[in-house]
Amino acid sequence: MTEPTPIVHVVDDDDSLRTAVMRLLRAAGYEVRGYSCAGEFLLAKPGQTSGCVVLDVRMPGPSGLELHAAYGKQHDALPIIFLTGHGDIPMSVRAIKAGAVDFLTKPVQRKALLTAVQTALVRDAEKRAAQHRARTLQSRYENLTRREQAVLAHVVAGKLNKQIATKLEISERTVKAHRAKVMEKMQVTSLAELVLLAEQLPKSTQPTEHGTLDPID
Amino acid sequence: MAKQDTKPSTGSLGLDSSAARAVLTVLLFAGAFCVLQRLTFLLRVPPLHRAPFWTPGALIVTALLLEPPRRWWIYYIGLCLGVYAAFFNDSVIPVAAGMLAAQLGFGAAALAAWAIRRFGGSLPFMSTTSLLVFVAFVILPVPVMLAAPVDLVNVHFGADDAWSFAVRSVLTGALGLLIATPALTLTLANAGVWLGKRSWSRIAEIGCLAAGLVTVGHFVFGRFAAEESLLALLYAPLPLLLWVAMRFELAGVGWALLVFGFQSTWNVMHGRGPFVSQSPEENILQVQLFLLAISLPLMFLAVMIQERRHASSALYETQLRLSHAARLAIVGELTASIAHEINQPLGAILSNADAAEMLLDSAPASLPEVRQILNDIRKDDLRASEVIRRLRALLRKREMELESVDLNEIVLEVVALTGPESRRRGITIETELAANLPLVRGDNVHLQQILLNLLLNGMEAMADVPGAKTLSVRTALNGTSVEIAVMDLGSGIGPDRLTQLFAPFFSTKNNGLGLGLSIARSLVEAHGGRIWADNNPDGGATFRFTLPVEVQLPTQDSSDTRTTSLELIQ
Repeated sequence: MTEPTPIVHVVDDDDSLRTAVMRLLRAAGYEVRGYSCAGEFLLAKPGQTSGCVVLDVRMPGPSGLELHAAYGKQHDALPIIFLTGHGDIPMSVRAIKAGAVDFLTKPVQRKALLTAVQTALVRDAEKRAAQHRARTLQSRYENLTRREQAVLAHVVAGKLNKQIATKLEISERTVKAHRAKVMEKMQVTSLAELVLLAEQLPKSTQPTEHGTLDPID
Repeated sequence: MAKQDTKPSTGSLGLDSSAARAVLTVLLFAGAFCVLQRLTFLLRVPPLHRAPFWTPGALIVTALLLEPPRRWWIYYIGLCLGVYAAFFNDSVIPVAAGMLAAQLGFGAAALAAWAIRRFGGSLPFMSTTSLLVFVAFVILPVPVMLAAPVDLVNVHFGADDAWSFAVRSVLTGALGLLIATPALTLTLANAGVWLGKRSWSRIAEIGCLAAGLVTVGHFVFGRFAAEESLLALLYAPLPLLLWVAMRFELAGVGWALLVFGFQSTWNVMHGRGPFVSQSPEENILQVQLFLLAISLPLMFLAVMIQERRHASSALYETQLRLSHAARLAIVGELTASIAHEINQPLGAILSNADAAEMLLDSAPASLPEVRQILNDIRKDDLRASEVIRRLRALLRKREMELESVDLNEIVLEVVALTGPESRRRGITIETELAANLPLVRGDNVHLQQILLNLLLNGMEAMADVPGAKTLSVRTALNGTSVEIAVMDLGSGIGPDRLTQLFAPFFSTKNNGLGLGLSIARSLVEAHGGRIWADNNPDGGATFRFTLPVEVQLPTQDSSDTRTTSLELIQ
């Protein structure tokens, strides 16, 4: 999967400031898009490609903080760097707590802005990679049959083949066959690797010994 | 006093400036003393060789009043020189006697100057107390000291009635000091201010008054021979003197009395006027008593008017300062949004400069884009300085200046000022400006202050209102006045509070001082307008104020601005 170039989104109602910040980022080699208000930004569905957002705190309509509160909950939300005219401490604490990458005061220093954008892009890339990994893992897991999922759960719980066979009321040989299938489908070569992957599965889909028991299968 | 005369010349002399100034002061003072003494000689009534009043003493007191004691020695030297110049060929009084008189005279003047400064407040003749102290010292102690040696000499030279002679020369000295000292002191002390203002109407008024005084004086004192003179005519100068007292205060009264003194004495010497009776002695006494009788009440009247005027100008000054403080408070409320307003272009300038630098560093430098950036930097710079200009215009501390004002422009200016604040509060400001609105006569800054106050109050009123917040500002022509209305969609004003709103210290805000609206009202009233508040039928309140339309005169120069002394607060 080839990643497209990340996009830096600049949201500021002040035309000349937005233009200047966009110019600076473009000169630094980024691909940049500008928006004059929160709504315009949201409509552009920015989360589809990687990137980050440089967001003015004070805007007419929904303010930067309000946008952050709503937008930050989306699963594909981009990391946010706040720009503010007069950053007061409570406001910046709120923003950072809510997951903002940085809180910069205007006039913003070039180094500070570029560093923050770099950090944000790295963070986004990491997040996207993790999401990608999780998605792959998820689809591998979903490829397992219910019986295989049950065997996986028991293996991860540290049960021996014999114990699993007793529990699932199948022969030890069948357990071994399921186990080999699981290793193959999950694309791992060792038990340790399998346990590690199983841990990374989302909670809802994590294999449990009981939930996936199906005596009929 | 002489300081002012010598200042311009010291620079060109190129000598040690303080020494040169001292020498010039000595010469000027000696000259002035000599001239005054010779003028007094002119008024000596024959065959007594005595004038009814002696003015040179006033010159000494004036000098010592206006100068610090460490410079008094300069005037002492000047006095000795002046006395010598005045007396050296005088037929009546020998130089030695004049010199002796000068020594004691200087002592007496020093005593009077010290007393006035010590007991009469810092500004001589500016208060009733100061004048009272002056009169107390001038009526007896000082003239006695001044006249004593001359009297002794006269007695020595064979005057027949030494006692009555002494009494009368004391009267001569006292009268001269009484009339001339305040006039000389106040004129010299305020010369700078008057020359600086140079108001032509004032100069014309002085001319009229002087002509009037001389004419009336001529009719009263010199028109008729002694036996035809009507005593009732003596009241004729009174209206003019009252006019002088009202308009030109103590200094004016002093000069007017000096004019009358010279005229009456001159005419007595030539046997004319109401004061000529049996003996020269009696005649002089008549002149002296007349001058004394009119001078005291007039001078006290004048000094009281002076005090009143100063008190009211101090009040005016205080009110100006108060309204300035209120303006500062308003701007204080706007600080956050104004800082934002200046910070935006600054931020843009910085980022643009950074971008330009990076563009220039890159391999094929894109010059058209750099040019575009420079253009934008210029634009943002002007934008920031426009914000500062608006603020500065509002914060300037100054007199009230009336000029022709377009209220629509005031509205636009104030809406621009409050723009960031309203955006911060999520409030839309709507303006509905009447086309072809006639001009009003008013003070730009004060009108802005009134409107700013109303707009901020309106925003405050809508702070807790949910939903869309709109503040409308309308201008309209209403008969002969222009009306500005500021309408909010807040919760309105309780009916019991509508009348209290404009009272000082009444506030509905938690941290309000309650001065804003009361100052707004006094500013509106100072412009001849009216301000009031109403509740809207569909919620919220409307504040309105009216200002009278400027009367357009065909020859009027609209750029002419004048300071006025309108009372700000009743």
